[in-house]
Amino acid sequence: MTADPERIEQLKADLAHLRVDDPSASADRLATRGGLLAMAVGLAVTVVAYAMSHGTTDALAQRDALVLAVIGLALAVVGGALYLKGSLSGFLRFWLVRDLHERRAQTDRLLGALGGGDHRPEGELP
Amino acid sequence: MTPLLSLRGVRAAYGSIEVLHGIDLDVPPGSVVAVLGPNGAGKSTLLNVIAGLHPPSAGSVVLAGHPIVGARPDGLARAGMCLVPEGRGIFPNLTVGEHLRMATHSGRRLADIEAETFERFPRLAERRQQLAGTMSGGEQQMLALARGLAARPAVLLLDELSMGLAPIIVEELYGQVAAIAASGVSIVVVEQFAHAVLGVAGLAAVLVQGRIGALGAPAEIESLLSTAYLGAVAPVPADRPPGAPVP
Repeated sequence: MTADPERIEQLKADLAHLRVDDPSASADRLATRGGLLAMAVGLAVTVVAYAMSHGTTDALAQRDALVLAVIGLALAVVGGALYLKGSLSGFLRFWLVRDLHERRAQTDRLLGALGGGDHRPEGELP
Repeated sequence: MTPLLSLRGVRAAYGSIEVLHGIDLDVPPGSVVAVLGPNGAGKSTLLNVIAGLHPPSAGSVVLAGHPIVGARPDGLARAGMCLVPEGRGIFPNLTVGEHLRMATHSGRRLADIEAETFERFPRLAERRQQLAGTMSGGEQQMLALARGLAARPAVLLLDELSMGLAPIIVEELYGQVAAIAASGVSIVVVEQFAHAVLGVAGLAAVLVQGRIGALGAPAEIESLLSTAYLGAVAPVPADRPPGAPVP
C-alpha cells in the first residue's frame, strides 16, 4: 500500500471548494414543504382579502378584494395538492420498501428452514 | 490508517426498488479494494454512487474527510475521482491520439499525457493514429484506463475491467492496475470474475443482493467465493468493524 500524501492534500483542497447540494432537498420533500407554505400563504391572503372587503364601502376595492381572495384560495388548493402528493409518495415509497423487506425476510426464513442453515434475516436476533 | 474513501450505511434504489441495503466500506489510501459479486448484486450501482452519478437514498460517502453525497459528478471528477465504466466508454470514431488530447481538459500538457501513457501502455503508441473502435478489446480497455489516468486521479473506480477479454490480457491489465496503485492511487475494482483481481487487491468484499456478504483479505475471500455466489454467505453483522477478518 503506497499513499501519495501530496495528491491527497490536493484532493482535500479541491473537495473543500466543491459545491455539495443538500441531499435532503429531494422532489418529495420540496413538494411537501412548498405545498405547506403555499397553503399557509393562500389562507392568509384570503383572510386579508376579507378584511379589505369588510373595511370599505368602495365597490372597486371590494372587487379587488374578491379577486385577491380567489387567488388566495387557488394558492391554498394548489398547495394542498402538492402537500398531498409529496406526503403520499413518501408514505407509499416507505410502504413498498417495507413490503420488499418483509418478503425478503420471509424468503430467508423459508430457505433457512429448508436448508437447515443459518439464514437469519438481517437484524433478527438469534 | 484513515481511509481515503469511506462508505457508511449506503442505500440506493432505482425508483422504488432498493438495490443497495446499507453498504459499509473503507478504502485506505493507495490500496486496491476488490468488490466481487454475482450479476445483479449492485456492484455497478455502488461505483455509480461513489462517483456521484447515482444519488444514494440513505447513508454517507466521505472522500478525504469531506462528505460528497450530493456533489456533482463533474466536480468530483475534476477533484480526482475517476470512473472507468463497464463497456470502456471510449469514442469509437476518435483516434487514440484524439482521446488523449481530450484528456488535456485537466490542465496537463498533451506531451506529458502522451509520454506517461505510452510508457505505461507501449501498444497504444503503435495505435496512436488508429480509430479506437477498430482496436482489440484489450487495447480499448488500455485506452480507457489511460484516459482516466491522464486526469491524475486520486481515486480510480474500475467497473468490470475484464469483461469480454482474454485471460492473458486481463492479467496484463491487472498488472498495470497494481502499478497504478503503487503510484499512490486508491482503486476500487468491481469484478464478477474474481481470480485476476484477487492477486492485486489488498482487501476484498463480496456483494450479495445489495449487502456486503463477506469482507476480508483476498485469500480468505477466494475460499468463500463459490458459496457466496450461490447465496450461502450471510450478511456481515452490523456491529462488525469494516476490514475485520472474516469469521
